[in-house]
Amino acid sequence: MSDIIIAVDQVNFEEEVVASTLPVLIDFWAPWCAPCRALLPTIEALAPIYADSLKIVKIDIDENPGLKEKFSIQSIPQLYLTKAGEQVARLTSRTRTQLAAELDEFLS
Amino acid sequence: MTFEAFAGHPVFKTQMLETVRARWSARALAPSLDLNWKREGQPDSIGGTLAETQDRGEFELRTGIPADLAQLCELLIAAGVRTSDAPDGAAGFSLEGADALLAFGIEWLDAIRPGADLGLIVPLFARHCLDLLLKPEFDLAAHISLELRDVGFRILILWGRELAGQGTTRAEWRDVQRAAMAATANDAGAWSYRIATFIEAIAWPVRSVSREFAGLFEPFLFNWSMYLETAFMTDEERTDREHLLLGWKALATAPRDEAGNIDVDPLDALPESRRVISSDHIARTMDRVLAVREAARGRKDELIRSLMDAVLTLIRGA
Repeated sequence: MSDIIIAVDQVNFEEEVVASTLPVLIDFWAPWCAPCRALLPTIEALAPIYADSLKIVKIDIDENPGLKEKFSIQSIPQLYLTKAGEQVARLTSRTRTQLAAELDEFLS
Repeated sequence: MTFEAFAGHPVFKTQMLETVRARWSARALAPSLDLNWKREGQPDSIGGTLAETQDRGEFELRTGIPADLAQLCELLIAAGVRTSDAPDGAAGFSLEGADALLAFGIEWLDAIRPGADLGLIVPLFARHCLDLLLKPEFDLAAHISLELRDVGFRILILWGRELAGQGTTRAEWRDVQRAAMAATANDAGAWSYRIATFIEAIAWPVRSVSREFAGLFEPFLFNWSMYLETAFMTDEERTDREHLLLGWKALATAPRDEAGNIDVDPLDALPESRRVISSDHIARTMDRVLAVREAARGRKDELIRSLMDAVLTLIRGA
């Protein structure tokens, strides 16, 4: 299941996020962040549901300070919906049901 | 996905359990929702030690046991025991709890038949829990709205169909999810918030809920345990507990900016919640809180043990 969520870093950001033909949901996280680890199963469960309409990636902010700065990440977990590498929405729900409703609204 | 516990070999199982058995008997493992194995600053968990890994995929590959199940079992133990720092002890912490709860640390592993496919244990346990909370005799039954109860039954029916091998559609689930969100939004009760969010979060095919289940069940179980304490409280304490829960809910649901800050303090509109959340109130009532917690210990242990027994029954049946 984790394979569905691509780990993005400064090297593949352009290819995986900016050049993506699908909108990209970025999960900003860090291994030490317990709420981030708690959210991961929810994100993983969403991935197959939106496989045709959305790419889901995760960015470790400790490993990628440049991307943390680019998106002005001040706290984690943080979920950003992006198009062509630019943020179009910040998702604030934390249950799968509410996140799916938020995503449906943006993707419709 | 199918699983084959311990690759079907009793000897392999015995070998894998050897270290866990010794370290658990010595109370040198700390049950955790995370697979902790040589994680910085964290004692090793049962599952982490069993497979000697922090990685879920590796855990499943080495043990043939779903990581979701290990997570659920450790959650149940963690809910019933108290872990405290003990810097002078060999493990750096101490673990206290009823023998019946501590025994489960090894019981669930001993109950596994080598070769068993345990892939459905967590989904079946999820169905068991939803069934329990919809029963009229459920401790918090009076706090569940008809609207929420209806959603619960709709989920139970769809899960039943799924587990019987019949199909469910995305449209059917979308309907239930919309109803669940509406029921949660309409819910204003102090005790029902955790129940409503739990039901809303599990409104998905039960197999797909398995991975998330322990994390979703934890706050629900905590809420349930807290409710059992009210039988040992005065009327005033019960009212204060409700103000506390309403305050927690307001803080948890308040919109936050990107730095995690709240613009308008939601406790401004809830002075009684602010009072009971204040450090002054907490310090003043701490002795009573501990006394009530201790008085309710037996009932809470009984609840957790009954949930453990439900898991054991499912494991033995696999």
